[in-house]
Amino acid sequence: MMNYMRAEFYKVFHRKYTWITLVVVLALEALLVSGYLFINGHGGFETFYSGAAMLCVMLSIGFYAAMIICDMVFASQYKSSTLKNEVAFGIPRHRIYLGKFLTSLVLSLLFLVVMTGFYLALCWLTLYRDPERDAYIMQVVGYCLATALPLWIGVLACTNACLFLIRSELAASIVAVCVFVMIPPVLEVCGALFIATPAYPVFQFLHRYMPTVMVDTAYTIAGDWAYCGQAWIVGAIWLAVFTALGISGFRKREIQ
Amino acid sequence: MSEIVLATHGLSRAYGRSRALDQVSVTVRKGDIYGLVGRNGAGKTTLMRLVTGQSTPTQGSVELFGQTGRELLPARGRTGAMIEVPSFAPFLTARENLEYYRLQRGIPGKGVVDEVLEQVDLRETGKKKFKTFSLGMKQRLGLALALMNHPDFLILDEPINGLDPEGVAEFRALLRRLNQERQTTILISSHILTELSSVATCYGFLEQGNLLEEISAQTLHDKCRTCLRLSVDDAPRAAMLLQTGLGTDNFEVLPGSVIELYDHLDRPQEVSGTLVAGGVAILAMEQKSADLEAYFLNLIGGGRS
Repeated sequence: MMNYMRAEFYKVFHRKYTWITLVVVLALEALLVSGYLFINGHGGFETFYSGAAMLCVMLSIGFYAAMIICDMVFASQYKSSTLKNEVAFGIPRHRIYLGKFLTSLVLSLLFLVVMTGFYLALCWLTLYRDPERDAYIMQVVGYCLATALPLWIGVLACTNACLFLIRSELAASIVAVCVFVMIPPVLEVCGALFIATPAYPVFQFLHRYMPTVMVDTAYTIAGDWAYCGQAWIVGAIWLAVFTALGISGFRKREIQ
Repeated sequence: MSEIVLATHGLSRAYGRSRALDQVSVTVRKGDIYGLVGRNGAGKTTLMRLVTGQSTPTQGSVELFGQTGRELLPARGRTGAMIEVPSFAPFLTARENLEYYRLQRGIPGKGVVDEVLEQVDLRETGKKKFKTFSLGMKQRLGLALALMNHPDFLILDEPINGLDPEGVAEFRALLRRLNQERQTTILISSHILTELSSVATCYGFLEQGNLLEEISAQTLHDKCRTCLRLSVDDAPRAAMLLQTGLGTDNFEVLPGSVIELYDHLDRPQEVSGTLVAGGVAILAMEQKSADLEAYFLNLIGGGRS
């Protein structure tokens, strides 16, 4: 597995796409911080607190980032028909699947550290600071990241499964987005339609524990570690279900 | 009897109602260069895909280096394969692509990449990305990947497609060298039967998913060798005259008073003179020769319908 992951990292870091994505994201972050500075230059009062708080309200971006990173690692293997080189050498299919997933996971964590670190450092260096409030908001950011992380991993597992099971990358991405973005509103509508039936609490329960819903709620209940624990359970369930689905489907897959 | 490298047992693969491969049992022995011959859609690539695990059989099994089932995976690590069009990451160079697979396969020593690039004459491609390669360059890189782990068994599907004449000659020499120096066993398919016949030591003929015949190159050569085919009125007497008059017993008497004579090919008038002088009437006389292509076409029943 280590050999497989080493090779995947070699490929990812030799791809312009990776570096361009990183540079674009960091540039957007710098643009956001320069927006704060612009506001401050025109009589506003943007602080490190408000800058850091922005991270907590933008946690949903992590889902899309997970998708992009998954795609970066998968690297159009169906389109370029390169999976046959791995299978023909006798690399077990579960290792191929898990190797790519773990590479995506480690790469996501690296990106998370670089992106949040860069953004917070910029805010720290350029915006007004108040040690007491800053310490508080850093705790909130820590809580939000700790809650969002397992949910991001769950969505990463979902995207990985879609990429392995659906030949077209575009279709795979659309299906993955449908699963984690479209299902919550569908559950909500179903709940409303069956409000007077025994199905209602089921839809409500499912809706409450959808990753996107949980991530959006995290900032409002910062410090509730029981909720964070629930996020880890939900993330683990998504991870287990989609990994099992993905591996079982990929095992039977005809490699062209 | 030499070690069996590949054996398939009643291997079948169906896609819906169509059977791409039907109960195929082939045997490839250590040191063989096994030529897989068949028309488009005969099942050559399907057979190779099943052997390399890209597809799963609907029936039957594959035995590689004596291993079956789950043990096939490590056995596949001793093979090198190039099936259909060589495929690599389009955004990487030749060296980067091979380095990626070297790391993935845990092959020690970075030098192995340069070594195989040298072998296939791709060392000077520099920063050129795979997506800009010509078909010939892609074939060479595919071959480089197949050779990188010094395989005991090479599986090559149409490997000379896109190679220029010089490349074909180099490739032929490379295969012979691998086979002779490293005892590499090779399973190879090609539409260019003259090329196949210049390297193969045995053949398997596939037609519509069925294995028609497995034959050694020697037997095929014997069946195809050039001869004078004589149709006479008295075959036993003609045979006696050939032995006494021409001093040869390098001939076969076939049913229907037909004699195939394998020498005196450049002296047909001497043969006819001897027979006629001995009182044998020659009804027909022709020089007959067949090659792999003719043999194959004859085997499948006269070529494309």
